[in-house]
Amino acid sequence: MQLKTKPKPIRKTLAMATATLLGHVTHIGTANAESNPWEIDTAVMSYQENGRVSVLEPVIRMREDKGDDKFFTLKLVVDTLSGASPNGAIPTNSPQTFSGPSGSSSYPIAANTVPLDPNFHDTRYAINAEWEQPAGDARHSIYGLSFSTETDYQSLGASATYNFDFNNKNTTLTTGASFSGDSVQPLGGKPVAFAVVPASTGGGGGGGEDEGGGGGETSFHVNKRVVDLLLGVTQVMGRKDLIQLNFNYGKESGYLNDPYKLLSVVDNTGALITAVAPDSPYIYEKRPDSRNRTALYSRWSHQFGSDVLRLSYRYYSDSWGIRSNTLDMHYRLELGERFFLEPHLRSYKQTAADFYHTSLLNTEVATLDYASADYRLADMTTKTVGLKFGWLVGKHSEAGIRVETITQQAQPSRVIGIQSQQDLLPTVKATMVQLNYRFLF
Amino acid sequence: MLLRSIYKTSVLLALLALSACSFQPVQPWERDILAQKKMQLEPYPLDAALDEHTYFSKEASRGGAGVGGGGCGCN
Amino acid sequence: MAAAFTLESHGDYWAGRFTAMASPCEVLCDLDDEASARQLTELACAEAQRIEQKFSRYRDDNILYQINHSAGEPVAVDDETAALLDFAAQCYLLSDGKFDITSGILRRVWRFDGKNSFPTKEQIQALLGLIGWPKLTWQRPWLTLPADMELDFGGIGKEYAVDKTALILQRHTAASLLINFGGDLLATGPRRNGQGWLVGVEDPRRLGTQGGKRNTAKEFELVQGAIATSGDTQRYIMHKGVRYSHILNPRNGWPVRGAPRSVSVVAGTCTDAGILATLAMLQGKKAETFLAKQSVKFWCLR
Repeated sequence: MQLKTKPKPIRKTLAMATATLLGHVTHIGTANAESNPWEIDTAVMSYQENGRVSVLEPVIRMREDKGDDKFFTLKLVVDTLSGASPNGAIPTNSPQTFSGPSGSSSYPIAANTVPLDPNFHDTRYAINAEWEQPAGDARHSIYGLSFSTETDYQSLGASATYNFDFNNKNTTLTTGASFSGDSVQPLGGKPVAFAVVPASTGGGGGGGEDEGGGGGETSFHVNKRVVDLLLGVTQVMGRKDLIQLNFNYGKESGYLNDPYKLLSVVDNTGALITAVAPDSPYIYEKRPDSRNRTALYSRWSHQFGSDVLRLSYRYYSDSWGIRSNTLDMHYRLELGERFFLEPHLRSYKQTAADFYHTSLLNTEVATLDYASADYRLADMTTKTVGLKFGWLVGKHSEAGIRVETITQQAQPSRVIGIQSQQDLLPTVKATMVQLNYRFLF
Repeated sequence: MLLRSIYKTSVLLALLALSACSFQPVQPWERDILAQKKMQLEPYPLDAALDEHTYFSKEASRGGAGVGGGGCGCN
Repeated sequence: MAAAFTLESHGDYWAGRFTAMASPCEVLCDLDDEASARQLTELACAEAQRIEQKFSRYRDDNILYQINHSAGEPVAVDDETAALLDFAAQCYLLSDGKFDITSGILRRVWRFDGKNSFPTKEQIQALLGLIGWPKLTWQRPWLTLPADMELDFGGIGKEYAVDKTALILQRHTAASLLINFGGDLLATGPRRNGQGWLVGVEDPRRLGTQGGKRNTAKEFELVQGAIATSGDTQRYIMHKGVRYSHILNPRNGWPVRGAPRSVSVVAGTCTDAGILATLAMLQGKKAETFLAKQSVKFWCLR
């Protein structure tokens, strides 16, 4: 006979009984053994580019230890973006005017100035949930769901990761897969690839997100799908060494254009050229509708005394012709028991996409399958120098401040005639400041 | 040039770490150092996620460290 | 009483080892001085053997033997035994009768040696009349145990010994200690290097494989607190293709169905951890639900 009683919390009563048994002792030892199932990690990041966009991004990550090696993690991100962003057109020796999305604002750009769309502002909200649990003997799995939304973009994703331990847990094999289905609603409609951007009519109001564009198809909704597969090995190399090697294959398909990016059309002197008045000398970009990418990624953690070096290297290549190398280094320098300093260096170098063109010759427009003047697809380097200061406030809390400078330098694919008088792709300098606070309860 | 030599060095380092140091199996009771938070491959997941998001929106490469995380209209 | 133990240096700590309560026991001392480590190990060994001698049911010279052979006559017990009886009474109430120190008698018919000796319903029924905490009369210091009934402190003894030993050793040292009696263990605080003791929660399914080596399924950094494990895959009966665990329900005399193979619990004292692990096993299928309600860290192996 088994009574159908629900399990009930008895821990406190039991602790009192034990205390009586052991002579009024509930915890043996010098500290309190209260379990702290919640780990709360918070951060605020501020990112500021010289004269361009600024981002304010608060994040909170909550992780609950559900016991039995099960963990639940929830992450919330608010990403507020404002400022100006390059629209892809080149600077010229005379002023230019660009139209915003159909009938809204237009903006003038002074001579010899990189055209920046000044009305760049949007807020993105993202939520991530993860469930981690053992999957039998020496295995555990992590399942994730993610959703994010901003004015013109929504993303819904799912991921699964399985880890298998071998060799007395000295080797871990990781397999992972993720899928995300994204929906893009370009403001002003989906621009027709290579279509001429309507000439600016000047003036106009505008509100919300005005990221350029216009003259689009009536379709306001296009899709993008991203699949990622990951295979990795983590190896304990010794008491002070941990190394990981990952192989990542990704496939993106669907609408991969940036609907707000333009290309300048020029003649063989490098000057803007308008095919038919009153059209403008700018056309919309066009990228392939699929992209296959592979990344080989390795990282290494090593302890020197009590300091820790973390080094990572990534080789990346994709079907758009981009190849890149990323080297990243953190060195955690312990300053006594409570403080640490962590310098961070990152060096990134990529080759341009096959279809990257800083500007297009009018004779090329009809012959090219794809073209984009997005500087992020150019030959480019990024250098990051940063320093973090960490403070172990108490047994269960830690604070940190991180300051980094990021310098990006892209190279034009071609400089035609009078374009040599211009700094087509000026250096972008950004400063990032981040505050962290983490605690357990 | 400097950059290129840095890359070469890093590849070399990685190979060295993989081959030269023979695996020294670590017993469960010898994991005191590896168990420290600072020795994890990703000791500060928020820092890593913010960096990943920043570089995702400023560069053409992505991926490598893991899967999942979600999309963004920023690139 | 000369206790046989060994002492071994592990660089930044000393390990004293001995056997007591039919289990390998160890005391890890986070200190450099050999003499202190030796003294602490001696104290631990003496306390473990004292508790074993006092409450072992395999001896005929202790209080337990006196109680179990009192033939229904009242026995006056000492303070320590009285405290344990009070505690057992509380556990009986807290577990709705599933934790019962009079249930050891079931071992007469249930032999969990991995073989298939399976008792008959009649055999079990005959013993049920001799089980039940409420059948005895306990009024401190007088205990009256009906004739033919038996008490058994096996379900608490080892964990209690860990706690008692820790309390004694703590009076002699401020150093961080790890006390491990056959897998039930307790750490007294952070080590000098700021870390805890790294302990393995053993996976009983791996027993006997890989050349007889024990493999550790979970590693856990124990700074301060205790871990106790209930369950053992070596002890079961196969009957008609069904595996019966050695966890017996004292109310019907049958093995608990749906119990995990082992349960490990982290708590403030080893006694708490041990009781919670045992009670979880007695919950059968609901072991995890029960432990989740207790807000303790735990591992269940199924």
